Amino acid sequence: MNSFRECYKTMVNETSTEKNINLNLNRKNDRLKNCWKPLLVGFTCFAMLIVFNFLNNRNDFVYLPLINNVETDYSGGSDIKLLGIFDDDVYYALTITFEAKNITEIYRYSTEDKKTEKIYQLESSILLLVDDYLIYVNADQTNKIEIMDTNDLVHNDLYLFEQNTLIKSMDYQDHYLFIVYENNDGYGLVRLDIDTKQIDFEKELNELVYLIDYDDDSLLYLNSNNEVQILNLDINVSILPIEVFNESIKDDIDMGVFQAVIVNGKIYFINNVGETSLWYYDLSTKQIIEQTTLVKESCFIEKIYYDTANNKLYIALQDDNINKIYCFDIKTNKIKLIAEFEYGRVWKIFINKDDYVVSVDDGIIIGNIR
Amino acid sequence: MVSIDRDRLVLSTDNFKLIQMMMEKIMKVNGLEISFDNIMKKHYGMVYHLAYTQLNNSHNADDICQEVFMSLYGYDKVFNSEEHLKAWLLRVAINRCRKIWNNKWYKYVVCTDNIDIYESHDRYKSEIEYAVKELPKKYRMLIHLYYYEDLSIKEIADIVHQKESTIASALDRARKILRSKLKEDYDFE
Repeated sequence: MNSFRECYKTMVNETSTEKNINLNLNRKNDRLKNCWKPLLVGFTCFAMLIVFNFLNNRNDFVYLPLINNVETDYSGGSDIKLLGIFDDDVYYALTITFEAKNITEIYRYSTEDKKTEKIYQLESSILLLVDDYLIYVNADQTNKIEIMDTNDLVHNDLYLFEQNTLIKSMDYQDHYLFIVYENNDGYGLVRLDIDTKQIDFEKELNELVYLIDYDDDSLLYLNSNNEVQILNLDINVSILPIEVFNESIKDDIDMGVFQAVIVNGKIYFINNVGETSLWYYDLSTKQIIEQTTLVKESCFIEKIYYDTANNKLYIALQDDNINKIYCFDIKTNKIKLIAEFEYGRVWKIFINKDDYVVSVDDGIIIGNIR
Repeated sequence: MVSIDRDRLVLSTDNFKLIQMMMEKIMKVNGLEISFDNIMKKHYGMVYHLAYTQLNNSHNADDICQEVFMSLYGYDKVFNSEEHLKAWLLRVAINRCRKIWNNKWYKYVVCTDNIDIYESHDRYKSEIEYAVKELPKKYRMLIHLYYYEDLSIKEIADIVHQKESTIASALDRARKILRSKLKEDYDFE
């Protein structure tokens, strides 16, 4: 029978002797000598990651300063009104006051040859762009809406309301023009088909409303009590959304930063309590669902824009004076940060195939959607 | 950098003078004047073996040796005997090992020093080592002091500040565990 004492002593002497220690140290040295390979691979991966991130996050945009020393206010932002982007041209309007009259100058900036041209001048301040057509309210006849081809500047009447009608606002989506007006009977809302020049929906209102967004079935607006109301366009009935929805957006409405879009019966909106997240209110199930977190902190909400062609949402937030533009793909539920820049607040966003254009306090920014 | 292979200590030139000064220190053991250098030469292995078997890590064992002998350098009292010095060194080393055991970092460290030994074909040697390393720490310490340092139960009791009966029963339990783990029969006397 072996003696445990002797075997244990032999084992200790063999395992913790100089020879074994040196063996261990040599093994470690060998590992250190060969560690350049994983280190090199690691360094290469790291360098590639840095380059990839640099390329991926580079701010590939052009800033066009349009106004100097402009006084901005909350309701208007600035005297720049970004009208839209069509093909490779960005359209914007600059309003100047001349001899007690507001003159609105319409400009076209070509992203291809980087040239700006003034294409027209009018006195109306209610105007919008549909493709390369300018739709505006006649300054002398406040009940008349006109349409102008920006290429040949040919004017046509689009719709004439009754006498004593004052058009208060216009919004456009998918060949439909939503118009809020005031007349002797009060206020009203109509939907005008641009192609047929016919009104296919009409609703009398007892107060002036502010349109937020709409889809084929519903229209979202703010009433005079700053409450969000949903108008069902099929049955022509306005309803208040569930209380919890109004509560969750109340602060944003009071601050004037509430932004929402309706897409396929869902009201997408941003909530910035604690963290800034994209939520939606499902009109059919009456449920509020958090879609995705955008920023882990509370950011200033600037704009939500729905790109109907690609079924994507574009969201502008301001975090520490840095504007961040996110793209949310509704189909895949993927969110992507596409741009970061300063230049004040983002007021409007437009998207075409490859480019985004946003208006900021004193200019516009045009960049590529990566 | 200056390397002292014998002592397995790697020293910077800044510390070299300090080490020289340490080595020249004279300590009194049983009335005899012995140089610190000689004490280190004689007992370094003992402290190192204890630390290595308890911590299973050569770097920690080196650190323990360094700390133990630094403590010895700062210890100004006279040792009554060689056994007194040996017991003192073992007690300090045990305390240092316990300190490392209680370190949270140590609890999550997997030692790879002896992976090759476990995987070697020398099953006879690794069987004992593996069985001892699988023992609870308190038993592993006692087994080492009893079977490697050839200390009596009384001497171990003095070093770890416990009753002899406690040490005896603990050793008995450790032996039972080892017997159950070892395939071969051993004489545990």
